[in-house]
Amino acid sequence: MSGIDEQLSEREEIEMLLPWYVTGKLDAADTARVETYLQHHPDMRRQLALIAEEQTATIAGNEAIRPRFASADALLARTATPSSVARSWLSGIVDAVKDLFQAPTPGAVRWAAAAAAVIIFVQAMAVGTLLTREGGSYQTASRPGVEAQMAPVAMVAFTDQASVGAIALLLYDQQLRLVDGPLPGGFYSVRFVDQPSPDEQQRRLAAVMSRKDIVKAVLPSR
Amino acid sequence: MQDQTDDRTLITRIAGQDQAALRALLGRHQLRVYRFVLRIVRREAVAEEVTNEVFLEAWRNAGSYEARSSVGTWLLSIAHNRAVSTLRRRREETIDEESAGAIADDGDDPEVVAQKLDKAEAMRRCIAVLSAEHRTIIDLVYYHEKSINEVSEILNIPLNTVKTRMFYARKKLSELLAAAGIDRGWP
Repeated sequence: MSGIDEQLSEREEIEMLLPWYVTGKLDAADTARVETYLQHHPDMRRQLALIAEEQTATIAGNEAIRPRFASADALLARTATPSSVARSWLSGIVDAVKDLFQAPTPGAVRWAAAAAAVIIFVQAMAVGTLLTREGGSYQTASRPGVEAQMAPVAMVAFTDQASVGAIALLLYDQQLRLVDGPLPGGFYSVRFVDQPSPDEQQRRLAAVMSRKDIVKAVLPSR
Repeated sequence: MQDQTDDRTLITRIAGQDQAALRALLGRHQLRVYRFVLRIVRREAVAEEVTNEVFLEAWRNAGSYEARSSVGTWLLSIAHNRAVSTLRRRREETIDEESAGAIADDGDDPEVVAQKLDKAEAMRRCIAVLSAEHRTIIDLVYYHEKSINEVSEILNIPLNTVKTRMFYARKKLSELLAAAGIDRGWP
């Protein structure tokens, strides 16, 4: 193989790696290989701009697809088991945040949407409570006992890395509900869905605090 | 990384027949899977059904998920197999360069498209008229941001084939753009 052939071969190999270099999906060795080549062949840098154009157009083409999915209930009916029925109230929560996860937007935009999703989440929780725990009948918040049950038990701050799905699952696992927020310091008020004993409350809050990947801080509010 | 951990937690719960976890998985991945499938099968109703089948298969096989790849990659792998086999079963023609223009561009030829649209839109349309094979790999790399290894797993092709297929997909795209009057100076 001549020197020119070798040079062309190396050039083609680098060209083949460039799409992954631009998307940040090359391993360290190939990344170093590409960067070394680019240093010695600056003309190749023009390819990076072309690839960025291609990626922008590809993302636009995909994001132009905006389906309105039918309810997931039909799909879930094909998977139904008796034990899963009891947990179906969570579906309202996840539906509320579903659009957030469906939007393949950069992290900053996703978190801007998260604030709105949390509001929807709180509303869904409140409505869900009335519908599922009160047999669907209408109740006012002044009904005896409701105020005490609605009182927040803690203030929770979530980590920047926590996804809304992870937060929803954690709250579900510990039978907690967001009732207010975000408050100063990034805290959210939470209360229990049920009326656990004081010991059980402590156990659940400890479980929440133990999730350092999701929870930044927990402050008891009563 | 956190999302991957959360996804794997969901799969574990799905293996335990937790419907709420399946709903959460749908919330995270349904749109991307649907888009991936639709760009292969080209029919919305078919894409919706194939997408449902993907998540049903995930529900049934969650227990055998071995976490060698991300959940997203695993789902796209299932989706690719399902979409391709659906195409074969239905004996539908995939869109190729010869037939796509009339469908994708509202009757306009590439040159007219280039005159009417800006460069970005022209490129988007040219991507849409690539062969399914080329469009799929471009989607996987640019939109789904999959690595060479992940694309290899999803399409079940060797690593070198991933690289050459992507290379030729890009070349074909440049040729289509050139035919539409947009010279990118490459290849």
